[in-house]
This record gives sequence, structure tokens and C-alpha cells, in this order.
Amino acid sequence: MSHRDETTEARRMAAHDLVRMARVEIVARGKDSASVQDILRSSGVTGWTALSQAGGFGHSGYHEARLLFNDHDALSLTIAIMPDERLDLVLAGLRALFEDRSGVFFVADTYVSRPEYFA
Amino acid sequence: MTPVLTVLVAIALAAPAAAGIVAALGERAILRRLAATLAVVGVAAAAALLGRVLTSDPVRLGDADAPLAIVDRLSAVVLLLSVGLSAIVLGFAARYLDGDRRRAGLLVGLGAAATAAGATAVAGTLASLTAAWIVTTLAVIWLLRGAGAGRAAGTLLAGDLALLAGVAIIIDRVGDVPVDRFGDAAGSLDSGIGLVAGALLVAGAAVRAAQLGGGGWLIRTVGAPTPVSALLHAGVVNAGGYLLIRATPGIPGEALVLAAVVGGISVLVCGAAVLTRPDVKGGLVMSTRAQMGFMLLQIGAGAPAAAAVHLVAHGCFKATLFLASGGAIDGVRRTRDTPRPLGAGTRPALTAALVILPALAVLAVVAVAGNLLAATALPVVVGATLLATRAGSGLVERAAALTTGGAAGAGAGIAVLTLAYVGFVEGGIAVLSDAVPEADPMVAATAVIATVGALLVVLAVVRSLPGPRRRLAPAAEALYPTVSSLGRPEPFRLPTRRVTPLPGAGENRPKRQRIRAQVARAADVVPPLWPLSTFVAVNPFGGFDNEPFEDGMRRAAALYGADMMPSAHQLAEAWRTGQITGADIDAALARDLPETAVPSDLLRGVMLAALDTPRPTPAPVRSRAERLAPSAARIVDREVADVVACWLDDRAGWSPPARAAGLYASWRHTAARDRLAWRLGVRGLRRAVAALPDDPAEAIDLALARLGVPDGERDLELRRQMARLPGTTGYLRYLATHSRGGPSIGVMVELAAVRLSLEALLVPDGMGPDTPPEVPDTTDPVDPGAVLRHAGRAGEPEAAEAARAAIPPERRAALWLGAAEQAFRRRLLARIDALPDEGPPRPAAQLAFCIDVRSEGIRRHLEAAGPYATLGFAGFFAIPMRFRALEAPGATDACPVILTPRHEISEAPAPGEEHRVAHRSRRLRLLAAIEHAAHRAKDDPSSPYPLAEAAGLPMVVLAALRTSAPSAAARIERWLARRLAPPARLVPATSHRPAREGDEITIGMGDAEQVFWAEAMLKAMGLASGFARLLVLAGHGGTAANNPHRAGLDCGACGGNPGLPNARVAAAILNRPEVRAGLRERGLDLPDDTVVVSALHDTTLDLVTLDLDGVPATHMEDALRLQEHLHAAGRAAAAERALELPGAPRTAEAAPAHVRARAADWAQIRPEWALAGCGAMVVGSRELTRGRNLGRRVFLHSYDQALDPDDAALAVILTGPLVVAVLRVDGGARCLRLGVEDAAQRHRRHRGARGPGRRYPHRPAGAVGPARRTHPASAPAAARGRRRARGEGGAGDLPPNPARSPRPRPLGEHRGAGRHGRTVV
Repeated sequence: MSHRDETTEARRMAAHDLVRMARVEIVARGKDSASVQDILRSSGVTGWTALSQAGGFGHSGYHEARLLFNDHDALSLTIAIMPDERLDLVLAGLRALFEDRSGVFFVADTYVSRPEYFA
Repeated sequence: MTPVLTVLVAIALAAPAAAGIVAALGERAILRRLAATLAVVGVAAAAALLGRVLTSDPVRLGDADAPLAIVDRLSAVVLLLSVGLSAIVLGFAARYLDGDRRRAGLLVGLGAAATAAGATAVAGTLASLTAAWIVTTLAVIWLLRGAGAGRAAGTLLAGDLALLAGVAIIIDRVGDVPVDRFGDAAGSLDSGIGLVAGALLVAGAAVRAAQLGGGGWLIRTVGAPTPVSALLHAGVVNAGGYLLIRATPGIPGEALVLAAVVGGISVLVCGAAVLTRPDVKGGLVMSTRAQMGFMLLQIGAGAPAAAAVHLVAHGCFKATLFLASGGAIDGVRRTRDTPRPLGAGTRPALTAALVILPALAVLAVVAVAGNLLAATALPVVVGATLLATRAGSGLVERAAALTTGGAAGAGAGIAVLTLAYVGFVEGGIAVLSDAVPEADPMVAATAVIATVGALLVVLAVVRSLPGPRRRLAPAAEALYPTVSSLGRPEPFRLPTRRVTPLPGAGENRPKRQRIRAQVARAADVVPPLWPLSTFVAVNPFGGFDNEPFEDGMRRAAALYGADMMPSAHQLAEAWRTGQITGADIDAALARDLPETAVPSDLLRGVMLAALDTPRPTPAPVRSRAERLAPSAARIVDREVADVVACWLDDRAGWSPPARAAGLYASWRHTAARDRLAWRLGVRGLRRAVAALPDDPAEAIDLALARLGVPDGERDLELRRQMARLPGTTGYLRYLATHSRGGPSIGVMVELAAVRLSLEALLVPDGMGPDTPPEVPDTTDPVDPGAVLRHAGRAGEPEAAEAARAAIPPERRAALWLGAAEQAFRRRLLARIDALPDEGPPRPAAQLAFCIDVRSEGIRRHLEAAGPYATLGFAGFFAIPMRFRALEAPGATDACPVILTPRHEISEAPAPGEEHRVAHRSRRLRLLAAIEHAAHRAKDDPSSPYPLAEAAGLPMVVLAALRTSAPSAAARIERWLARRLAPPARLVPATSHRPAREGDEITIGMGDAEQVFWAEAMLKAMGLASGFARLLVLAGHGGTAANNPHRAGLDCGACGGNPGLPNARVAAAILNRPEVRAGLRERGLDLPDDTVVVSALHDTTLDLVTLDLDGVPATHMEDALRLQEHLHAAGRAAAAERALELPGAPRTAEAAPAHVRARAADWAQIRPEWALAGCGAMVVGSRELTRGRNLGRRVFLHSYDQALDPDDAALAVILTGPLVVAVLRVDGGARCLRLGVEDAAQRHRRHRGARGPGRRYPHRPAGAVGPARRTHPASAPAAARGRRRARGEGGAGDLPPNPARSPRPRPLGEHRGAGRHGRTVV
């Protein structure tokens, strides 16, 4: 998306009374999700949505999503919305966390109607 | 008469030493009996002597002016105390120390110490008393070897020197006088010399009694084995008081004032410090110091007879408490499962009056009638009042549990306790006053005593009333750092005298976040560690599961400084006995070594030659502080272990300030005010701690910079920081990741901040750059000649060289491990591949046991006993529940730790049982209230002194019974428990309750969920048709007394809890018509005449007990027959198992009684072998293994591939039960070997499996640990010990299985392992 498109998008959203924020989606091993949430918390992120038992396909092949008697070895997906000033902190922590282990995160713009919820 | 008395004295004195020596000769039953007989004879002789002097005059043996021994009432009582307690302690120790390498030395030392203590009591002259005293000290130093002996010995000997000097002065002036004229002789000295001699005696006595600065030696001994602690606290520290009691008449008043002041300070300070200690033994140490202080106070008050009474009662009281300290974890479980107290009550004032007033009224009457209000007896009345009010208020705190009748009964009980106290003290004083005349105290001493007494009364009042308590909170906060550090182990010497604060730095928030993440990664090397009350082990190599096995082992070995592989000796033995063959080595080499042209006999030659040479060990990873200043690193370990334990202990009477602000903030608050700097002799520490940054990540950054850790080494430094105290780190990780309401995972950052800040401050600033790493020695220790010799060749050095090069030295141990595993696998498969045994066509009953290896034996014997079919399934029976006992305050996650509980299920009265259940509930609440009151009275600063005197004798009688006749004691306890709280029938409340606000979890289970889990269970165990009339689900648990590791015997699939609740829930669900209808829709047709019955398999007793209450009349006959067969199978299984238990009889007839006695024995730390030696898991039909003796070393999971076309059930088994089984492999070994440590005593000593960590098993701290995580190499050691116990070449012996602890692997890898067909090994 070019800068011009972005500006247009932002204007359009502003017209809907929406405010731009950053959305970070993190896919990590289930046992790392506590550390992911600690990074979010200590960066000042006030809330997130966490899905356990995530599955999919990637560098290590298929990862089963639902293990009946094991919640421990599945993946987790954490979605957090935050203002840009928190993003730097979150990214610094996540980069360091995933230095030696599998796990990915995606960052995108998103728009919210109640920015104070995420400030 | 004199010769008879001489013989009696000789017998009483010699008996403990002789009993110790005989017990030390071995573990055979005859030696135990002989030792016990000797000990009892000694007690009888001491009792006879006491009887003699109670009925006539004191006895003097030998010359009148220089008697060999003097037996008057005081010395006879103290002699009986020493000999009697030593009989109990030796009896306890002889079983407690079974298998310990130091067993013989400790038993001899215990006997010698008791004999010397007895000789101190009856010594005839001053010189012989002093000699016996010093021999006692030497025996104590011998006993404390390796458990803080070094500096403890220094302090004790310094005290002895003071005593020697004082005695020397007296002997120099008046000669070696008989002990009973000791006081007069001391009194006849010139006032100046007399004062000096008196002060020296007081100093010597104060050190032995662990008073003031001389008390540090006792703190250092908390790591001693429990029986040693018991004897120290009951028989050795008393000698200080005994000496002063003897000398009182002659000691100058000023010296007595000194004794009173010293004692008074101990009573106030050490009594308060008890409240801060998180570990059971640490609390008891501070309590002993306070109690000894109380005795000195009594002596200072001119009441030596009262002091003697206290000496005796406290000795009995404390010995029992020490020996029983392993029961603390049982207390945690009891509190969790006992019905919670009901609210605040409607009439608290009335209840309080009913509880407390009877005691006070009776006391008033007795005091007036018995003229106890005289000045000398006033302390007794005050003590009795304090005891009654403290115990009473403890009961009132649970007042709502009491009905009016209950309250009145409790009040009567407290009145009796109070009377017992007064009677015992007054009676004791009357008996002893002949031997110990009262003295006139100086006014100053009286003032000290009055002040201390008044302060105790005020303290008791303040602690009872919420208002004043709140107002005094700031003062308590200010005092906490000083008081709490009194109970900490003494630090080491430090190579610095001045601490420089860390420099400040600008705020860099992204950097902080990076550090947080770095710490989170580093913390992964230490897996979570569950509390002892729900003991669950996880893979100790869990932090290395991203790496190939060998690499992970090597890295873990370097990080923990521990060799992970089986020892060369162990492997050589397996090779020599043919358990590992050449083919096994070849197979391991072929599998794990890259292809090479070297002939296999030469490769084998290298492997065999490697057993003769030292094994290369990886260079240990050490933290920066360990390299720069090892003593600083050790101090940090001790301090941090203690700080964390105090911070975590929410049951402590006095918690650290700023606890809620987090570990780091709380530590800073305390460390900026405590006495560490003073104890270390450094300046500036408090200020430097106060100047640390508020943010823990920033503190880590500054500390790493000060320590000179470059960025590239930070990861390794942080990992080592986490691995230094694996118990503490692991428990914090458990709290952060698996407990409800625990701290967030950020607590790991706080832990690292505390550790690194303290290290950075204690390592001298500006120490030079690190020395360059040593260049590892790359010389191959194996000689080519040895390779050729082992290969059976000659004269081919080049070929040997090539073979040597093909197997690098660092890989040889892992290849040997591979060979050992191959040997195990080969033999196991040889048995399983034999012709399947199809079993009975229509079994009379099907019994599903847990996959646990301990089920294998009883399953085999049951199938041999009758037409029964058995199955294996994870013992939680697919019920992912949180279980709450009836009206209990706490709940447990009764499912595998890798599973999150989905439903909370509690208990409810069975139909028609409502009244009985309510009655039982009331009684349990009352008993819990009494227990609470006893704890309050014991731990409060004001009341433990009268409590010790009231309870000492009854407690020691109980201890004697539990030691001499554990089975009878257990029967009495069970009978009493049934009488006090008659059992009532409960059923699980499975029905679903609509969600309410605040529910953390679904309460109960809906019908659809019940069908879902029932289907999962039946299909996963391959049971879809052919149901018998009885289907038994047997959960399992273990039995142990006074054993903090008891939960380690329970079901791992139930989260370290007994499996009966899960079996009951599963049975109740399967019996519901609605569930059966749902199952039928899914193709699982349970016939109407199939009844599902729950049962408990007690693995320690080999006893399977059916829940016959739930069996309908139509099936009762079958069930009763099955129960009979289960009993027979249990007896056979017990006989088989007893062959492997050390000290067990070898006959089948005696085995069941032995395993029962073992389970009930409070001195037994190893009631069963649990999972030690387990080595494989078979997933498949029972046909494969039926009739095969697998030696209780194989997990058996039932599975039918025909029912599982898409492998879904296999996937469930491999990702669930298999992973848990692997965890239990470690856990089983661990619960045997683990020494509980309040990691402050972090010794790196590890014992063979038959000596599992016994040196610390009674040191639960704060009800949870922190426990020392075992050396990961312990599992092979456990296997070795078990083999040794069973004797080489025993029937059904499989080769050693050095536990390999495979990591839980992703699904794909397990599928690969399934290539053996239906059997996955």
C-alpha cells in the first residue's frame, strides 16, 4: 500500500470515527504464551485475546491443533491491539524471545472505535 | 546395694552406645531387634535408678570426695531423658537411615552422643562432668560432618573453652569437687574470681544452649539428618541448662542476671523469629533457642527446679516434633481437603467464653487452693493463663465450627490441658526441689523476668486483637528484616569489605523488554517444579527439548555440573553379567554412528576400552560471580533461597514487608534494612541495595555491566543464574505457569534481578578481567593397545587408531547408553513377541488399572488367580477435573499436568447418608479447629513454653509407640480417627450447574460432555464390546506416614493425587442410563447388566479395594468373589515386591504384614520403590503381555488398532499418556532420591539410590519445598539401587535401564516409532 493509499485509508476510517492502532498477532508454542503475555503486559498493553490449541503448517511441517489429553504441546495465537508507542517495546521483547525458538508474529494496522480501551 | 547400682548406672550409660554399634553392624532384622533390646534395657536401668532415688537418698558411687558418679533426683531424671530419647531416636534412625552410606557412622555417633550426654548428667566430679561434656561436643561434631560441621564445630569448641576456663578456675581454687557440691564450691570463691568463673560458665552454657551470638551453630545444623536434629535439640542443647542448674546455688547473682538477660533476649527475639521461618526445621531451631532462653530465664529467676522441669518437657516435646516434621506436607493436604470453617459464627463472645473461661476458672480455684499465687509460683499461673487463652483464641478463630456443646467440650479440653500443665510443673518441682534448691534471685533478675513476662502478655493480647495489631504493623514491618535474618544460615567469608553502589543509567525501555525476554528464555532451562503436596515431576531436561538428545544432555551436564550418563562401573557390570551383549553395542553403533569402514570388533574394542578410562566431562558453565568470587556466589544462593522461601510462604505468622509489591521490591525493602551486611562485615550494602533501580530488568542490565558480562555471553550467564537454584527457580515457574492466583512469569525477571544485583554488589568492584578459559585436554584417554586387546586382535595399531578416531571420546557414554537401552528393548521384545495369550473368552470381570508400572504385578497375579481380564489406561480415566473434597476450601487438579482441567467436581452425601455426612463434617471441623489451636499455641511467641511442658510427656509416649510398634500405632490412630469422625459415604457430584459470575471453571459435567469423555476413555483403551458383568475402574494411590514425598507415590495421571476420585467419577458417569444411551448412539453398547465399579489400588500395600457400596445385589456375589481374588493377588504381588525392598523378609507369608508395617512406619522414607526402574511402555492389547513377568517395569496401555482406523486413539495415547509416563519415569526416580532442601543448604552431594536424599527429606519449607530438583543422573542410580536390592540375576530381571528422559516429541516422531506394529516400545 503506497503512502497515498494509506492516507486515503486513514481518512476514510476517520470519517467512520475510527482510530488507527497497531495489531500484533503472535503464534507461539503453548508453553511460551505466558512469556508472550508478560512482554505485552510489561509493555503497557492492556489486553489481548488468546486462542489456545492453534494448529497449522510451517517450517516444522504440520502441527496438530487439538490433542485430546494434552493442552501443553499445541500452539497458541495471541492477538493484541496497541497504540504505536507501545509497539516498539512489544517488538523489542518479541524479537528477543523468538531468537532461539519457533514462533512468529505479524504486525498490521487496524482501526478501533474506542481507542481508550487500548491506550 | 552399691554394686547393683553401679551396674545399673553402667548399663544405662553403655546401652545407647552399644545399641548404636549393634544397629550400625547391618540392616538385618536380628541386629535391629538386638539394638532395640539393648536400648530398652538401658531405659529400664535408668528408670530403676530414678525409682531408687525417688524412694531413698541420692546415690554416690565410688569415693565419697571424688565419686565416679552421683545419682540424685535431677541427674536420674536427666539420665532417663537422655537414655529414653536416644532409644527412640536410635530406633527411628536405624530404619530412617537404611541404605545411607553414612548409616553406620551416624548410628554409632548417635549412641556415643547419648552416652556422653548421660554421663554428663551422672558425672561425679566437676572434672568428669567437663570431660563428658567435651566428649558430647566431639560426638556432635562427628554427627554434623557434611551438615555444617565446620563453623558449628568452631563455635561449640569456643563455648567449651569458656566452660573449661571457668571450671579450671574453680578446680584451681577449691579442687575437683563432687558435682553436688559444685554450687557450694563456686559460692566459696572470692567475689571477683567467682564472678569471672560464673560468667565463663554462663557463657559456656549459653553457647551450648544456642543463645545470642553463640546460637549460630544450631542454625547451621538444619541440614543434619532428622534423627540427629532430634537428639541435638532434645539431648544436647539441654546440657547448658543442666550445668547452670547444678551450679546455681554458688553462681554469683550478677552472673545469674546475665543468664536472665541472655535468656530474656532469646525468648523475645528468637520466639518472634519463629514466625518468620518458612521451613519446618528452621522454625524448630529458632523455637529451641527461645525455649532454652526461657530455661535460662528460669535459672536467673532463682527457680532451677522449674528450669529442670522445662528441660525435661522440652526435650520430649522437641524430639517428637523433629521426628514428626515429615508430616508437614500431610498437614497441607489435610487443610486443603477438610471442610472449611463456617463464616464468623453468630455468637463469638459466647463461644469464646465457653472455650476459655472454664480453664481460667479451674485455674483460679487451683491457684487459690494450692497457694500458687506465691511469688515463685506466679509464673506458672501466668503461663497457664497464656496457654489457655492462646489455645482458646485459636479455637475461637474457627469458632463457627463449634456448636455450643462443641465449644463447651473444647473448653473442658483446654481446662484439662491447663491443669495437666500446672500439675506437671508443680509435681516436677516438688520432686526435684530436694536436688535443686531454690535460690534468691537478685532484684535485677526479677525485673528482667517481669519485663519479659509483661512483654509476652502484651504481645499475646496485641496479636489477638485486630485493632492494636493493625496499629503495630509499621513497627512489625521495621523489625522484620532484623528478626528474620536471625534465622538465616550464617554466611561465608567474603573477599570484600566495602560495597560500591551500581551506577545509575538512563531509562531504555526497549532494552528492558529485551532483557525480560532474555530472562524468559533462560528460565526455560529449569522446568516447573510442583509443590510436594501434589508431587509431579516433569522432564528435567525439558529446557533442552529443541536439541538432539546427545547435545541436550551435554549442554545440561555442563550447565548443572552433573554427569547425566550411567557410570562406567554400572555399564561394566552390565557387560560382565551379560545383560548388555556385543550385539547390543553393535546395534547401538550401527544406529547412532555415521557409517564407517572400521570393523565392528574394533569399534566394540573402543567402547570396552572406554570403560577403563576416565570419561571426558564437559567444561562446567559457571556464572561470572562463581568465577570471580565463589564465596559471593554461595552467599547469594543461600540468601536468595531463603528470601524466596520467605516471600512465598503465605502461612507464615509474620510475612516480609512489601510482599504484594513483588519479589524484587520486597527483597529490596528487606535487604536495605537487614543484618546481612553486618553478618558479612561489609559496609555500604544497605545503601547500595536501596539505590538499585525500581525496575528489575534495569537492575539486571546494571548488574551484568558491573560483572563485566559481554552482550554475547548474557544468555549463558542468565541460564546459569536460573540453574544455580533449580528447586527455587522451578517452583517459581510452577507458580507462574500452573497455579491459580500465582505470580506472573515476570517473577523470573525479579528472581534474576535479586540474584544478579546481590552478586554484582558482593563481588569486589573492579576485579580484573576474567581469566582466559582453560584449553580442554583433547588427548584420547583410550589407548590403542587396549582397543586391540578388547577386540581380541594383535599388532594393528593403525586399525586401532582409525577405530578410536571413528568414535570421539565425548560420544562414547551416549553410545553405551544406547547399547543399554537396546539390551532392554531386545529382552522386552523377546518376551512380548512370544505367542499371544488370549485370556479367558468371557471374563468374570474386566478391571482397568492405571498404566503405571506398579499395576503390572497385581494385574498378572489377578489374571492368574481367576477368569479376569485387565486393561491399562491413564489413571485419571479421561476425567479432566478439578476435584474438591466435601465442603473443602481447596481443590486439586486431578488430571495430567499437560491437561487443563475442564470441570470442577466435588463430593456430595450418598442418598440416605446426609445425617452421617453432616456429623462427620462437624467432627472434622472440630478436629481441624483443635489442630489450628495447637499450631497457634506452638508458634505464638507467648505460649510455646507452657505448651511444651503440658504436651511434652504425652507426645514422647506417642513417639515411643510409633517407633517401637508402628503398625499398632497406626491401628490405634485409625481407630481413633474412625471414632472421632465416623466415616460416611460420599458420591461425586457430577451433574452440571449453570455458570455463575466468578466461576473459574465449569461446575459439574453436562450429559453431552459425560458421553464425550466416556467415549474417549473406552475407545482409547480399545474396549468397545465384550463387556463383562463387572467393569472395575481402579485408581491408585500410595500410603506413607510422616513422609513429605508421599504424593510422589500417588497417581501421576491424576496430577500427583490419589486416583480414587477420578475412578469414582468415571464409574458414576458410565453407570448413568443417559450416558449409556449416548454411548450406544456412538456404537458403544454397554449391556444393561454391566455394572461399573470404582476401586482403589493401594500400591504400597498391594491392596485393591472395591467400592462395594455401589454394587447392586444382583452383582454382589461376583464382586465379593472378585474382592477375594484381589486380596490373594495382592498377597502374591506383595511377596514378589518385598524381595526388592531393603530389610524386608524373604518369605511370602511375611510379606503382606511387612509391606503394611512399612507403610505405617513413621521412620520409613522409602515405603515402596514407586516408579524406580521403569523402562518402557507397551501400547497394545493385553494379549501381547498377558502371563509375562515384566518385573513391574513397563507401562501398559491397552489399545486396539481395529477400533482405530484413523489412528486417532493412538494419537491421543502418544500425545497424552506416553508423555505423562515419560514424566513419571523421572518422577519415580526423583521421589526416591530427592532430598528436600530449603535450597539454602545446597549441597552437591548425591547418594546412591538406596540413600535417596535422606539427609534432607524432612525439610519442607513453607508447606511446599522449595525442593531441590534431583540431579538428572539420579534415575540410573535409582535403577542401580533397585537392582542391588533385588540381588543380581533375580527372576524376571530386565537389564538396567538408565533413564533417558526423552523429550515429549511432536506427533510425527512418535508415529515413526510405531513401526514395530501395534506395539510401541
